[in-house]
Amino acid sequence: MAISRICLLLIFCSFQLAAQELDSLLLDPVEITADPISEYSSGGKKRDVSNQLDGIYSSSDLSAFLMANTPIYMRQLGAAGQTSTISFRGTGAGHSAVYWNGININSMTLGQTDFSLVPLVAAEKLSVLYGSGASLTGTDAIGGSIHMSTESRPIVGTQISFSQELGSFGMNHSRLSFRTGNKRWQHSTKIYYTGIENDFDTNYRDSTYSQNNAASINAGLLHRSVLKLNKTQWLAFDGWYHQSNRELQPKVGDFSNTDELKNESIRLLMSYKRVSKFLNLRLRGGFVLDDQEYNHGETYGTSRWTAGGEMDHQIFKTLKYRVGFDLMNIQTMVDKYTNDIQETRTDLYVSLTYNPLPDLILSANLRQTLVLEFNAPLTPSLGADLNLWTLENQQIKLRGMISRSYKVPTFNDRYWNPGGNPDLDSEKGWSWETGLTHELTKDNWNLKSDVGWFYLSVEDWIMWIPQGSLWSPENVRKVNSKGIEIEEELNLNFRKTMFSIKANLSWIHAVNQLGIVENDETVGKLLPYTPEWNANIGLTVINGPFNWSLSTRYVGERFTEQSNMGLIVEAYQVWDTGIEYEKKFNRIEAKLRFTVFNLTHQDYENFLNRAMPGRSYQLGLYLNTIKF
Amino acid sequence: MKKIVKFVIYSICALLAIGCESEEPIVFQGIRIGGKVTRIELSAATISDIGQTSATLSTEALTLDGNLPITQHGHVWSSVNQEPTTSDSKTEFGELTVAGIFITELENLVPNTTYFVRSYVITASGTGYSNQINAFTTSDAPFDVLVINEGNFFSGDGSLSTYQSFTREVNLSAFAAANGFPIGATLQNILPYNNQMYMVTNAPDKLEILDPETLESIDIINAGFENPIGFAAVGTKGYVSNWGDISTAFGPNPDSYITVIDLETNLITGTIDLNSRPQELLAFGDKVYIANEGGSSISVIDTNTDLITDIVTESGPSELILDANEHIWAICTGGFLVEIDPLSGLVVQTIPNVEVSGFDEKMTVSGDGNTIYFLSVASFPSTETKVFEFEITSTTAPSEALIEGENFYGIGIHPASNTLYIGNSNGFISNGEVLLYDTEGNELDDFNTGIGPNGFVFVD
Repeated sequence: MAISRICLLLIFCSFQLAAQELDSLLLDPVEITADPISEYSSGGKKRDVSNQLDGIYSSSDLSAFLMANTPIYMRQLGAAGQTSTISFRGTGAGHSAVYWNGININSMTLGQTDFSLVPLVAAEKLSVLYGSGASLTGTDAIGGSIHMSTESRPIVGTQISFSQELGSFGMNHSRLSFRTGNKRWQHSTKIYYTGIENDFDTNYRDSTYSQNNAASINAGLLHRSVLKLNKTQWLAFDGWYHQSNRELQPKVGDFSNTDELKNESIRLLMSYKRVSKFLNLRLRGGFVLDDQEYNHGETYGTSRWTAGGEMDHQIFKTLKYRVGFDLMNIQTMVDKYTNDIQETRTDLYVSLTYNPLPDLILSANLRQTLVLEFNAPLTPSLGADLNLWTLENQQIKLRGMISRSYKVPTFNDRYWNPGGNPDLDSEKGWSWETGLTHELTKDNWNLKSDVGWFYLSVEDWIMWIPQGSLWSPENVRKVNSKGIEIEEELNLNFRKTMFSIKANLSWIHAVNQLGIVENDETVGKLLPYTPEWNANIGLTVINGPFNWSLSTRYVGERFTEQSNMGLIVEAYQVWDTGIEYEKKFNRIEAKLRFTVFNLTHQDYENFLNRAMPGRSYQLGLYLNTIKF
Repeated sequence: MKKIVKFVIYSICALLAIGCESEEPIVFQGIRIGGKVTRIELSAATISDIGQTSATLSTEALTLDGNLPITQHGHVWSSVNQEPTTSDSKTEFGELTVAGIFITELENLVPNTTYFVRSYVITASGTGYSNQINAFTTSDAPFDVLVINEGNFFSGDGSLSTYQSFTREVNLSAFAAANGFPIGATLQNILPYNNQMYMVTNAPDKLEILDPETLESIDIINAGFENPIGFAAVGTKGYVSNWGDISTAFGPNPDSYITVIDLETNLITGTIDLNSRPQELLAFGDKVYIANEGGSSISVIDTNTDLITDIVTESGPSELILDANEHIWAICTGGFLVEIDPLSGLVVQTIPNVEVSGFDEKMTVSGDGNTIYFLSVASFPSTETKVFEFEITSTTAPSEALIEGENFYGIGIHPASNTLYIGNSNGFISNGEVLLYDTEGNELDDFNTGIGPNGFVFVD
């Protein structure tokens, strides 16, 4: 009961946007590690989806969650656990940044994140920042960025949670978390394991066979400790170890493939925060190790040390600024590079937020990456949030933002042997967007609508092209992407039943602008794997101990080839549904959930020639001790 | 007195399917009969309205010799004899007493065939012929050209396109259109044999057997291959060259092998181990020749025993063709053309300084077996590619390219029309293109095809 009430509360809070009360200077004491996006990102579109983490995708990875709850398209190279990369607002896999406690976890070698390696359990809080975030957080955030944080409200006492799920195709998920705290210390440890065989029925030509070589195991450990030094200072430690062992799902009809991939990563972070009436200080230091091994052969590893700090200063009641720096020293250990590379990057940034009128907030940001090996552009941004019209129970807000973004050339692009091109430039982009939000609150229902329009342009996009006997990357591509995103959310309380509907609809038109070869027929054509239409709807009904959810998503057709003349992957729609029953015992809250994925047994593909499973079932048991 | 011989021939081949057409009458210094020049002057025979089974021949008699009356005249033609005579097919128009044009309408010709034509006159002194003119009749099949589109390795979007050289009709995904599903793999090679079509694909590695006319999949061998490349057949046995495990294929001890298949049952009957990484295969007589690009030899399989012997050549033989003298030519990544006499099993000639790509060479031979054409890809970072022409009678490597362009990836030549087909991969960025050229290097036409066109197969 208590959990569902909290959920309801959070549902109503989830749509809160940037118009913050600036006279509460003391940041929420839980935000020690970092949540830099909320204050200085006026004009941008951001969504806090933390309250949805506990839904039917709670044991899934970030890819399944984002596909179901946002208009972001994920390219999934097969069933659960297989490589998934992001396509945010029509941009490429490396054009979105993923942050864990402020650390960009995009691979240093590939410059992107495999979302199947990011389990949802690694986040206590999750936010999505649409559009360019370079001026705030640096490289890669061109189409958007995902922010995961392990911050949570401090507790007094001890809390233990355990969950176990079993599902079709050999799915097995276990999670144990242990939290304890007092006024001075907070500790939290989480262990998780997900294994799946993925031997689902696959259709191939006129027959059916059992999918081969698609099994995966993901397991890891998270820990967070926070020490409250005194009323104004905190020290926090975060650690995350994740290991993935999986078979790489082959194309349909490839019965003899035995490719495997092993991934390991360690992320450690120490943070310090100090608050005072007009000045806040944050310092951080971290270490990240990423390692990949393909077919028990070649390894691809990078490690980096990071250090950073920022200071927030409230000059006037209406004006606040931040200055900060981020240092990173990267070391590569990749078999395919001629030598091991060491690189140091320094980021300097300054942010400003100004509240000139009660209904208007302006933000300006500037960030510059300094590195010897390549050039990164200066990335400024400017944004505004305006309360257009406020009535007794209605509010209309307008937002607008313009910003510059960039992406550093990856280590693979520069140093891969053969073909790597160390003279590559950064990819660069400009984007602007605007949007209108309408909120209507009545006695027992509320409705929120958001309509946004964006335009972004990326140039010097790096592509590997054959040059004689070798393939080599060049800054050759230019893409313009524009689109409309519509979001609706309705919450209704009727006869002791709570209804919630969330819907997303997006139209994205990502078009190639530059030709590369003679008679290039790719100019003016839509990019491959960027569907024009994308939609999802989620319905949740809560009545007493029961919670029923139904979710559907539609993905439009996708071209597989740059001139749009090749094969097309058909549009598809998938339905998922789950029902939960909750019961409170003396000291334990228990929840039982039964979920059906792909309810209609749809035969579809996300990526060409990689089969997706038909209908599958999952049964889960979730136990929480009431803190003692 | 004598009109200067003007010889203007240009081909508008693919568009009108005409072998050659002359604009002005070609006047000879009389017709030679029995070695003596007469005062009879005819224009050259012209060929027009060529179709799949018909053509129109036309000659103008310009001057007649009053002292040498013509008792019989007409046209002679043959698809076999390059200098047709009155013993071949002919029309007989009787006496020729007045200057003027005489026309022969040919019918019931065989499609996709080259015909050789001359005009003739019979006098009291003997029979005289004009110079030979040739043209080819076009194919009447739904398609006479297959384009092998590799596709992108990761996506497995290889495809088969078909082209009708007369109607210019293109079927971009002919396999998918015929079967209702795409190939779903990287397409390496396709070869017609014994009224079947054999298709080699990678990832998944398989050999698929198709109906040669409808391109419907008849059978498929799903296992027993590892990175297969080429296919050849003798009798009822099929042979597929396999690189083997990719991690050792380019090393000193590759696990390469040949898969032997019984083509009557489509079952694998065995394997033959190879010492070097193989590329293409060629069948001739009762032997199968293997180009060992990973080594310096051509392996020969005696298909009666499946025993294997080696012919030492230069480094990296990649592709093999059979020429007009029934000799095998290999193009080597080391920069050589090697000529082998299959009867003796010996290397007859090695031509050095050949400008090659250095890997996966692409070579083809004209229908008459006299001219070899091959591609040369410039080294990194250039994207230039060249097409070279080599006469088999030549003893030195060609120095100047016949055609230059970017991203050429496959080459073939239509055996009947002698049109060069060049596959342009567009850098694998998008779908590819096929460019049509004549053997002089003039661009004739082009059409869109799938991703990475690496070769062509011409069928009747």
